[in-house]
Amino acid sequence: MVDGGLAPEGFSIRAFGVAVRVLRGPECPAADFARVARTWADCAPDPDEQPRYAVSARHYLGPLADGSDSAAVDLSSEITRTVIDHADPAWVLLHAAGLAHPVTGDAAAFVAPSGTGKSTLARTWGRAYRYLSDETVGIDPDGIVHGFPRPIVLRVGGEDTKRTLAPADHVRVGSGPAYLRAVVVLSRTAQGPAEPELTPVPTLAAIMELVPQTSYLTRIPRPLHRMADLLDSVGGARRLSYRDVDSLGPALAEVLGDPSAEPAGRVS
Amino acid sequence: MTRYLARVTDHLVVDGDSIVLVDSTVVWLSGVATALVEFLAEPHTVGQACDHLREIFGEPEAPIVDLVEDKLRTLIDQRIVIEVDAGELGDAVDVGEGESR
Repeated sequence: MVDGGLAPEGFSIRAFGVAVRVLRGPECPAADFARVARTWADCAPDPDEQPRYAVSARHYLGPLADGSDSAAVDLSSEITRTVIDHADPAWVLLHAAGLAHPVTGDAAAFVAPSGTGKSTLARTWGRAYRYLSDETVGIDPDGIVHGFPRPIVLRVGGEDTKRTLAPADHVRVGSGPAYLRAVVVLSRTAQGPAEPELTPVPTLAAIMELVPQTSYLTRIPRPLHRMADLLDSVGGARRLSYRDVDSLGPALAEVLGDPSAEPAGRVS
Repeated sequence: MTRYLARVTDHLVVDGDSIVLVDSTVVWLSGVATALVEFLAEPHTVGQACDHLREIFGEPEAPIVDLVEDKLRTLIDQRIVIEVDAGELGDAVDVGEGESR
C-alpha cells in the first residue's frame, strides 16, 4: 500500500497488470522516499497483491537546490521500464496520452512522439476528462484502455531540471473501465490551425506513424493486422492538427463527448 | 538457380499497397512490390516472379527482368527478401497469408 507516511522501506505499484515493489536503498532518506511513494499513490495495487518484480531506490531522492528531483525522475523511468517490459504481450502499448469521458468511460489515445504535446494535452484536459496517462496507454484484446497514472514529470527550469508530482493533485484520476473509442495522432505546430482540425488518416499511413510509437509490438502475433483491427474498431485513426492546447475543447468533445466542464488549465 | 523468399514479421495489404514489419521497422511497399512480396511467400526464381507480375500488371515498357531484379535488390537491402538455396528452405517462410483488407 502506498502511503506517504507509512512506506519507509518500500511501496508497491501496479500498472498494465504488472505489480512492482519499490524498495528504499540505504542511501535514500526515509522522508524523501515516503514523499516519492506518495507521488505513486494513483498506481497503488490491491493491498494483498504480491509484486513479482522489484526495483530499488538507491539514491538520495530529495529535491535539489534548483528545485529539481532528478533521482525521482530516474526512478520513475526505471519503474516504467519494468512495467512495460513485463506487460501482457497481448496488449498494444502505445506512447499516447489517454483521456476518458468521466461518465461514459469512452476513451481516446492521443499518440505523438515524446516532446510533441502528449503531456500538455493530458494535464490541461485531464481534469475536465478522466486522466489515464500522459505517456503510455495499454490496450487489451477487448479494447479496454489501461492507464498509467505514474507521477507527472514537470520541467522546473532547463531541459534537465525536473520534478515529479502526484497526478491526483492536479488531474482527475478515476477508476472503472475505459473503452477505446478513438486513436488520434497529434500534430501540434506553431503554424497549425487556430481552430483545431480533425481529419481521417488512411489505415496504412496511420500504422506507419503508430508503429514507432509502440513498445514491444512484435510480441503480438501478426502485429500489423492487430493494429489495423484496432483502428477498424474505432472507425480509423484521426489526425488532430492544432496550435494551442487550450483551444482543443470542441475537438475533444467531438472525440470523447462533452464532459460539461472547462479545461483545468496547465499544471505549473 | 537462385530463388528469393520474403521473410518479414507481418505483411498488411490494403487496396493493393501494403506495409511490412521487419523486426521493429515498418516499410511501405508499392503495388508492384506488394505483389512481389506476396508471391515470394514461397521461394521463387526471378523468371517465375517476372511471369507473376506480367500476369497481374501486363508487360511493362522496360524489360521486366530489369524491373524485378531492381525491386529484389531494394527488398533485399531492406531485409524484406532473402536469397535462398534449395537446402535452406526449411523454416524461412513467415509471410503471405495473402489477406487483403
